[in-house]
Amino acid sequence: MPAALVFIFILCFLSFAVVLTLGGGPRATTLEVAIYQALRLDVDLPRGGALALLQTIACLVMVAVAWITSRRLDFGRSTRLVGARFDGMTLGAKLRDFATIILAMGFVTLPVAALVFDGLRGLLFAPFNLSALLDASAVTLALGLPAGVIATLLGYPIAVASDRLRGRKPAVMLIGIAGLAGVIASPMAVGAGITLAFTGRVDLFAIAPVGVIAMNALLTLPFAVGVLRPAVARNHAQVDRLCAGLGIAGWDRFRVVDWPMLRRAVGLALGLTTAASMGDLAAIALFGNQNLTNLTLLLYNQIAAYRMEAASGTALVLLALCLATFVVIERGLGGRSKSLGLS
Amino acid sequence: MAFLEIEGLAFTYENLIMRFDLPVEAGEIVGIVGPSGAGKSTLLSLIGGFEKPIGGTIRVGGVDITQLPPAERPVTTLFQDFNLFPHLNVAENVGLGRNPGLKLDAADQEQVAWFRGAPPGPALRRRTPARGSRAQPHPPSTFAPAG
Repeated sequence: MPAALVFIFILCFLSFAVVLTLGGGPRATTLEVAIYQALRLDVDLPRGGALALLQTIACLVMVAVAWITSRRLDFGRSTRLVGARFDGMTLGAKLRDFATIILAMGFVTLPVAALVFDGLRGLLFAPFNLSALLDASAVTLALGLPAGVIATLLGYPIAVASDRLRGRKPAVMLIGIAGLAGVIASPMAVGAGITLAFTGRVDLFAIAPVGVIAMNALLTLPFAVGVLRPAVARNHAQVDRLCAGLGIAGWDRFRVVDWPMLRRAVGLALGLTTAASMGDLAAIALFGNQNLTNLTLLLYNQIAAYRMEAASGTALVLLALCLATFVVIERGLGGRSKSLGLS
Repeated sequence: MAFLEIEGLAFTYENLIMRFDLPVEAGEIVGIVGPSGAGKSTLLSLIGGFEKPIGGTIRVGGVDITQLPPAERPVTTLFQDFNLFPHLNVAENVGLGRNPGLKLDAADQEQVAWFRGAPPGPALRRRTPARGSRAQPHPPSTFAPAG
């Protein structure tokens, strides 16, 4: 529980999009937004670097606190055994649970319902720039997919390694840190690093897509690891001995055993990381420009210009695109495994 | 000399040291009995090659197999659970025993043919010899955990 608490707190601590859109001015800003402003608006690289360092240290301290309080930095572990619960049997408890679930659902569904309603109205009755919307959708996909693929490709070996090395403290720490890099070094700190590393060497506009993809991949990596690790651990526990006994190893093992057994988890991880990358504002706000505008940046620009009807239309398109991408990837990859030719 | 010979086989689990000595003649059926935690499963794991001993030898038919990986040992272990791959059908599970990459030649295909189209069901699964292995240098012996 302490670990979960700290993890959620760090995610809020690193909040960028909400603060950038709703906050404003020096009085209502987070470190994350301050880094962005230093780099992008003031072009004050030393200050951006210093703030990024401060941010990283703050996150490191929090991760250390989580480490010490929980003794186990197990983000993304789920318990397999579910004990029987006898406390939810009475009518009162059932009503209480029902009310809680309805409230929680309302918390999520009401804004989404409002968005769908306003978005449809915006798209149907207000004039909107179709080509800008289509361009932004294409950029969103073109940036989100590679980021998701990289996060998943990095997340898989990290998940395997962290399971294999269980019980070997220093190695596990290192692997865990690799998986949590996107949390310890905040997205903006990473963006600041990329900016500082390349300023004066390469045209920053030219590498902008790379910067966005790298930042999003790192940002969503913890989620890929979180989804893959329990699946990998269960898979190892079930078939490691059987595979060893039959001499199934290496590529054969991946092709015949691991991939068919893990494709659902891989599909979920890829769908999640891609959708999350597509909805991210931080990376595109830092690196985006006139020629590189995805849906989230378009949305932000429209909100900043108080073009609310256009914004709600864009938001609906973004929501639909993220959802569709997630469903297609998750179903497409995670679908029923095909026969290996011996049916 | 016994067919299966275990001599001074030592294994440590945390602070606990286990030692095993056991001769088994060819054709002999042996049951291993002991309280929980006595090391029954550990012994079978050691013979199967799934655990690494810190000392001692395991010989089958006079050949030292102590250092061999599980798949190269002339023994087969029937585990307490997970003896089959749930995502594969009967023929594929059988085929994996012939070739670990399911790359089956004509002879393998012929061996597996009987299982093709077999409906996956609990009854059939139990009868399926999914753990046959190919071209073994020694006659296989089966170890089933007693616990």
